[in-house]
Amino acid sequence: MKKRTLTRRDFLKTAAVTPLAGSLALSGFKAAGPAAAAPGKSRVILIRRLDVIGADKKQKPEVVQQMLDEAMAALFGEKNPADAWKRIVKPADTVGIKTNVWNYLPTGPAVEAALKARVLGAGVPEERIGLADRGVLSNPLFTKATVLLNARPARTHAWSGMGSCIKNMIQFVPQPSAYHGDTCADLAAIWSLPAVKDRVKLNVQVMMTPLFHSIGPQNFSEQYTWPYKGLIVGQDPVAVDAVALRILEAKRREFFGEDKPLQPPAHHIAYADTRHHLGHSDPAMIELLKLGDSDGILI
Amino acid sequence: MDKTKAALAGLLPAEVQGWKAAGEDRFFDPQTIFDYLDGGGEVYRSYNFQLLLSRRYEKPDRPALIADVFDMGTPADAFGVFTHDLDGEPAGIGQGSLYKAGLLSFWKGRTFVALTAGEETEESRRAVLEIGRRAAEAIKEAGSEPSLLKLVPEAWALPQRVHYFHTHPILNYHYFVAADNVLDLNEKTEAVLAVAGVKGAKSYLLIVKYPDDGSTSAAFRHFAGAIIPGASGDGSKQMTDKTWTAGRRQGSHVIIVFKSVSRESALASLGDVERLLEIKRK
Repeated sequence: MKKRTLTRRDFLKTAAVTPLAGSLALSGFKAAGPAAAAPGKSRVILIRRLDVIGADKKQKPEVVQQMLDEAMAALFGEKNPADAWKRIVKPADTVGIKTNVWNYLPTGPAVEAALKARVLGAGVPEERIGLADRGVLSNPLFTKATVLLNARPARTHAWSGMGSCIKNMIQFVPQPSAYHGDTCADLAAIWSLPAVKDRVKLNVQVMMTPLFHSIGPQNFSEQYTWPYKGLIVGQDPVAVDAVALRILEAKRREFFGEDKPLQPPAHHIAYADTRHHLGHSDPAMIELLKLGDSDGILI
Repeated sequence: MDKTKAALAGLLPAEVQGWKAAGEDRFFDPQTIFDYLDGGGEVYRSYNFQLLLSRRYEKPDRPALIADVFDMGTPADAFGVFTHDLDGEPAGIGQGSLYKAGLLSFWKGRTFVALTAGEETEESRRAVLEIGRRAAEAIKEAGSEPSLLKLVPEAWALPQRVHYFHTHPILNYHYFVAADNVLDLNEKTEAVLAVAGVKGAKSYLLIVKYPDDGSTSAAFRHFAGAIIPGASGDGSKQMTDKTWTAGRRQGSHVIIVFKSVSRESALASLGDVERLLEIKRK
């Protein structure tokens, strides 16, 4: 029998139930807690659905949309995902969806479409929505964006240790290699540049089939991916990445049968917290809410 | 196509077992490699690579194979970049080769080759190995391993346990010493790191050669002050985890043992390297 982390009945019985949560239960969405995160903490949603990938190994768009909707509702403590989106996107906004097109493991059309659908639903017209990975510095939909949404697949990386939400903004600098020093220790500095600062309203680590070990110049072997079937969603990119990192590390322990730290270490995530104060990497400062299926959750 | 590019392209077969070269070969240099390998290009830059050829092989209804052929400039650096990842089974190709999970890597002369099947099947494995064999045959000149390896004592010279490199990030990749570059490693230094022991009880022997005595002296002072302050006169110090670190400077070399189980063992290893240095000088 599949194990589920939190059902609607569980929530109504055990969580602090507010009137909004009751309405949310009636509407069919699973509220995951109070409207706001505990003081000082960053709320991060981990949602998994074991039915999100079909027999053809492709993500089912309708399930991805449901996952994103539930995650957004829980992230903002709203009964309706549309209300959650209104917290970060207004009709007058120009929205850039910063995706990742790495050919072996891209963000993918299902996640991209799910994000775009909800931005459209928030009242932003199509012509003011950009979707790109490269060329953002010459794309007015990004250079003039009032909102950036950041979505990328979770994977190990030959130089930064992990392909992170923090790192996904590197295309906003004219010379990315300038941030390679000390195996990308100070990637978070990119987030204080005008092109990025205060614009990123949502971060999504796509955990559908993450890569947990890199080999060779191509950095990829399918043997080192696995169907985790999840999304990690949050406003704090450091917290989102810290949760993804824990999962990759747990998978490596499981697969290799020993503690096998990332090589090189993804120290840019901790430094994003301790040096650059971009967000929280300490689990004690992250309010992690787990939704959906718990089979194989690893953390 | 210039001669260097043509020479690299000539190393690869046009077709193997139904996989055919597809599209144009692509070439990258130390400035443009990031366009292809992203930050991972720093690994090859740290070994002074000169030129990279990337070729894609396709076969109907099969995942593609990617050939990456690096002109590393010298056999020492071709060997060195090969030692960046020593997991896998020897494949008997070139002067050193390993295969795992769809990836074949080997070095011969100044060339390093990586052949990747992103999705491994028995068919793709055979094709990758055959492309590798043909490429190795096409590389006419073999080369020598770095002479620094001669200073690794026999007890430390274990298969797939010795790494050669130049820079601080690569040292930390294999064994984290410090966030700061306490050994003043750079493109002009040569380093060997040998690993002994089993998981949970590994020890490390590091030998670094500097271009001159002045930089050696400065580097050793920097290291000693940062990592083993207050070390005994013999260069040894017990660390907070109860293992022993010992380091000495000999001429233009710095020799260090990390995570030794005992002071005696650490000093014995330093002594072994010093004896090999003496032999080398004679």
